Amino acid sequence: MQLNGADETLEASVPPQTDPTEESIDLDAEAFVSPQDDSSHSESLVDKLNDQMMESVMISDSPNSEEEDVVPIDSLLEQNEEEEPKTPDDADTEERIEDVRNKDVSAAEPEEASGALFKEENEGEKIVQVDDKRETVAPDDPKPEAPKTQESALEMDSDSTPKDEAVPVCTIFSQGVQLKAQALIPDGFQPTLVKSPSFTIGNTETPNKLVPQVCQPSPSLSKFFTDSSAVNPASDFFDSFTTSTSFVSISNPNAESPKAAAPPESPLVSAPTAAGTYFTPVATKPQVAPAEPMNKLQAVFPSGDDPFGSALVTSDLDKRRDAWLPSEDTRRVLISVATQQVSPVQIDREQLAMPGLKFDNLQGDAVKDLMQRFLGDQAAMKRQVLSANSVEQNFLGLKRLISTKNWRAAVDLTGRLLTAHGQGYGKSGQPTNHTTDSLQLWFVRLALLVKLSLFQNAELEFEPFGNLDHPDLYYEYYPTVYPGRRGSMVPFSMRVLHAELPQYLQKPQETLDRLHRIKSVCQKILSNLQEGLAEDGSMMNLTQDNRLASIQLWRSRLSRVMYSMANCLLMMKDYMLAVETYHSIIEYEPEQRVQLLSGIGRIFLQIGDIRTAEKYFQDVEKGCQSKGKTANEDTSVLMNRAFVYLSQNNYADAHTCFSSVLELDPKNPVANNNAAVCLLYLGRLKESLGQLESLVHKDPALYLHESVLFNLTTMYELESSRSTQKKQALLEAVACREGDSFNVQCLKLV
Amino acid sequence: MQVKGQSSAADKMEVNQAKQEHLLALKVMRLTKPTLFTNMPVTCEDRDLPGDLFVRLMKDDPSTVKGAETLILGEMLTLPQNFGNIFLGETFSSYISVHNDSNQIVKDILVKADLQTSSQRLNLSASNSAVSELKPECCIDDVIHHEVKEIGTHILVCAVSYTTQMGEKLYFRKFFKFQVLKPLDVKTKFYNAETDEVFLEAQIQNITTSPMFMEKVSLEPSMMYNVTELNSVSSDNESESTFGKMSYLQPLDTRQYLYCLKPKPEFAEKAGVIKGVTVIGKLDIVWKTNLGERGRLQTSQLQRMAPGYGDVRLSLELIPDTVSLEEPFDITCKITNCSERTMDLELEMCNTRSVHWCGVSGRQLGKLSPNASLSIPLTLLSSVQGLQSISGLRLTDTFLKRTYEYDDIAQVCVVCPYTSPES
Repeated sequence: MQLNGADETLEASVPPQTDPTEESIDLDAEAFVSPQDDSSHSESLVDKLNDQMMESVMISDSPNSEEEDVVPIDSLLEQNEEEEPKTPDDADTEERIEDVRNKDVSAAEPEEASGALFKEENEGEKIVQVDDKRETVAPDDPKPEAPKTQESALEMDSDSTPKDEAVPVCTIFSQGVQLKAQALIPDGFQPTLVKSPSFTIGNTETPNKLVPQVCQPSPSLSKFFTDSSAVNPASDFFDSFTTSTSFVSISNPNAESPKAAAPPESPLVSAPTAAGTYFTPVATKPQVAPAEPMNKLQAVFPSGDDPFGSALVTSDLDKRRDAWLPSEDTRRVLISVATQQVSPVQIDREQLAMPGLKFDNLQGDAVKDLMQRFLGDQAAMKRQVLSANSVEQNFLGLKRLISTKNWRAAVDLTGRLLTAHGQGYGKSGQPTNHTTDSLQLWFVRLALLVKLSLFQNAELEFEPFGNLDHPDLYYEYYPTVYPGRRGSMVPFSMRVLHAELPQYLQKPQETLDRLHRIKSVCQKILSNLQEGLAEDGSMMNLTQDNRLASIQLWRSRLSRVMYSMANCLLMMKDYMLAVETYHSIIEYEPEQRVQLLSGIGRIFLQIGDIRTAEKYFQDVEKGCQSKGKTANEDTSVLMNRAFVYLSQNNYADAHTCFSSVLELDPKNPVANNNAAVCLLYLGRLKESLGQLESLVHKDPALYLHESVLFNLTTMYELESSRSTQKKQALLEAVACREGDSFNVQCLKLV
Repeated sequence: MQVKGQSSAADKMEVNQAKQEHLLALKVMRLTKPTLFTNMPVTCEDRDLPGDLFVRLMKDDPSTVKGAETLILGEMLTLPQNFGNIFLGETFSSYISVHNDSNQIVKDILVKADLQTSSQRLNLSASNSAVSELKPECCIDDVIHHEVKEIGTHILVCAVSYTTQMGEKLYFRKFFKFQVLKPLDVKTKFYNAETDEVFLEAQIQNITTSPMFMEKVSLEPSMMYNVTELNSVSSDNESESTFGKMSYLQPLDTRQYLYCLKPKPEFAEKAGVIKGVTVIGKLDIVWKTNLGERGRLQTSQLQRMAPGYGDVRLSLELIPDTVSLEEPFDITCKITNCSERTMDLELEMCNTRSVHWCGVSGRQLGKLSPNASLSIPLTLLSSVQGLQSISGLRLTDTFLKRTYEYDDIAQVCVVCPYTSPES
């Protein structure tokens, strides 16, 4: 033993290992890898025993082996040595592990020994040896992996793209306004033309001279126009971005009136500024656009009634919404553009955002594929989901795809619309003009990719945008197109999305950096407003209402950013900072106090700190009492109590609590699901299953959710060997309701 | 290895031959704690292209927190998604379900669940009585619990025997293997104080992959010691942990706990008792992880080598911490005979640059038998300000003519009392 002062290692007391002599179950390497089950179910079924099911190790079922019950685990222990990656051997030169090692080693026999043992027992018994394939799975991050599709999508070769796109072309502008189309037909189109990689010099700063600003020819676009000569696609094309009846204006919600099937001549476009938004991109985009239609379209907006009044309203809204503080470099470029010292042509390409699609269609429907595989082609035929082809080729169609949860199709549609805008596949790195709409399309596309967990794809397509601070992403860069408009074209939500993305790719630090950048801009804008300045710090006079509205908007944005930070910290398992951040959100969102405090309590439960969790839950209860409700009448209080019981291993009382939530709110999906989970831990599998199953069938809208289905399929697997059939029944239920974005992994069919 | 491979192939064949349709299916699932579902908020503002669509989608999603949809940690419980890790001291819980897959009634079903470790075999079944009959599509459920007390390979052996309608007795078994890992790494270090006190520093490292809430880390002293835990600072009746608000240990994080052990008076009096290797006590550690998953470990008895004090030990029983410059103060020394023989001692006091002893140097202390001790009050003063070390005591055993020197016995802070008359 050491003298005082020396470090010693102690080891949790491991009882002396005695040699078990009675039985020899040697566990077989192969049997372990593909667990078999002596009760002779087909292997495929056994294979479907999912991860959370324990792996069946071996099969030694001869009745005469029954007596011999003790496994010579000693022979297995040698692998334990390798099993020790958890002990950071390198870290210390002290004698720490020694102790443990010695014991292990003494207990473990060298490999030959087990071989010898095996031979001894070989006389007729089935002997299976365990190969210690480290089956202990790290419990963290059960994140679903991004589906394979992304890789294949990325392999698309660029040549094939235009061809592929040729198909959708016909449909892309289906509901065009025929009248105008007719008018335009004579013009025809020369899919030829202009090759200047950036704007022509003809584009000198004369706002009125709407000579089409010319940019880079876009093969796919020209294809677009030539291929479908039946309807005049050009006008349709404009429609999709301008005044089509079904067009939904983003920047001017007042203009949103899909029901008004007015011809484009009618002044749908309310304000010159807004109109500018829609017109000029057309002018700048398809360089092939001839002058006549432009003039025609131009004729539209002088006739708008009271353009100035609505312009003021929208511009206030826009100003508030678009405000942003560019970096110093960007600001300098923007000022020089505004003062006409530099024309955009002269600006270094390096400084521009030049996005383009990075992969082709995602289209695919995993639900259908699964149906084909398990239920046959006929059943699969019945599966009807909207695709990019079956909706209007505009924002309205896009919204329809999103709301029906056909996000893959929606991504495809954004791709088409962006292609029409000249930012299609392979266009990355080529100068382009941005518009409010093109950036909104990008935002929707990237947001959906994130929602689909296609993070790499999103990252790839985000990349050309840099940190969303290129000068051409600001309205000031296009003084002719957006006269007088200032601020960022990039929607704030896109900045948040951009910041959040890296955390899903194991780069949470990057996420925090970006979020802090956004946060500091929000704070700067808020302090500008509070000092009586405009958002961007200029000396503009704001009306009081305006100022208050703006402060409210920016406070809500700030709290959104803080939510993202807290979420990111939570994912990083930096619980203390996460808790602090969540707590600070209460100041901005007082009406979310109960949810936030309960959420913090749950974080502490996750860590295992039940006492602190209870403290937060008590705060919630106090809050409820002060509102005059008794604790038992409040679902969040009951829910919190249930979680505490759960953490005390008291599943019976937890179940009671979840059930009393259901008495108050019988449709509460969380309480229903959680009550069922408690039943399982109480050993009442059938009841639990019955409860979940009936819920899914009674109210599929609420219960066809990943988490519920996952629980249900897990229980199916536990219940019987016929889980596959039952899962297939679920698949059918899913097929009737869910869109192409459904995550089929939770069905655990494959 | 090759030999193994070949023979296992042979095993397999045999297994296939032995395969036989069973009417019952046995399924086992480890019941770790459920987890809370986290969702992934993607939001937009109402003036963005999707309008309120994203918000509505999130509101309709049952797994989001209503009213605070951007909060990722939801309330929906999901069942464990994989076997996970199991650590020494945790409780292994498992659901065992035996389901009648057939369309006939099965009789006299006996389900047995045993856990085989390297050293023993434990029966975990709640009941050992047979179920008289099981109808088709019905199942027998059992939830077993076992606190894991050994590291290494464990095998859960589930055996099912039953009788068919035809009266045929059938039997099958399934084996489920898992590894029990070590959750904590504990290192200790002892520090001996000048008094009889011993300080124990314990470094506890979380070597699992998940954060760990340390619910209790306490030292259970052996019968010779009393223990004081030094892991919280108390002020105004509120004690605050020295670890601050961090109540948990991240993976691979280490924490240091400090304990002060004082020998109980009956042992302290006879200093000779605590000599050589002594048992100090053991650490009792309770931790919790996800949703209250609990683990508990005790270390083996911690042992410490008591410091050697030579033949004669001189320790201080009483000494002021602060004294005034050039003013005499009293200390009490305790002299213990740690040798096996009787000593006749003489005390000499030598002044140092700052310490001046008062009284007669070279006085006889008389005979001191083994393990006996005596206390002597001494007076001294310091002529220098600041932290001064008390040195210069010499004990001579006149029997053996051996002198023991005691320097730097303790320190006192010497201050000048006249510096600020106005205060």
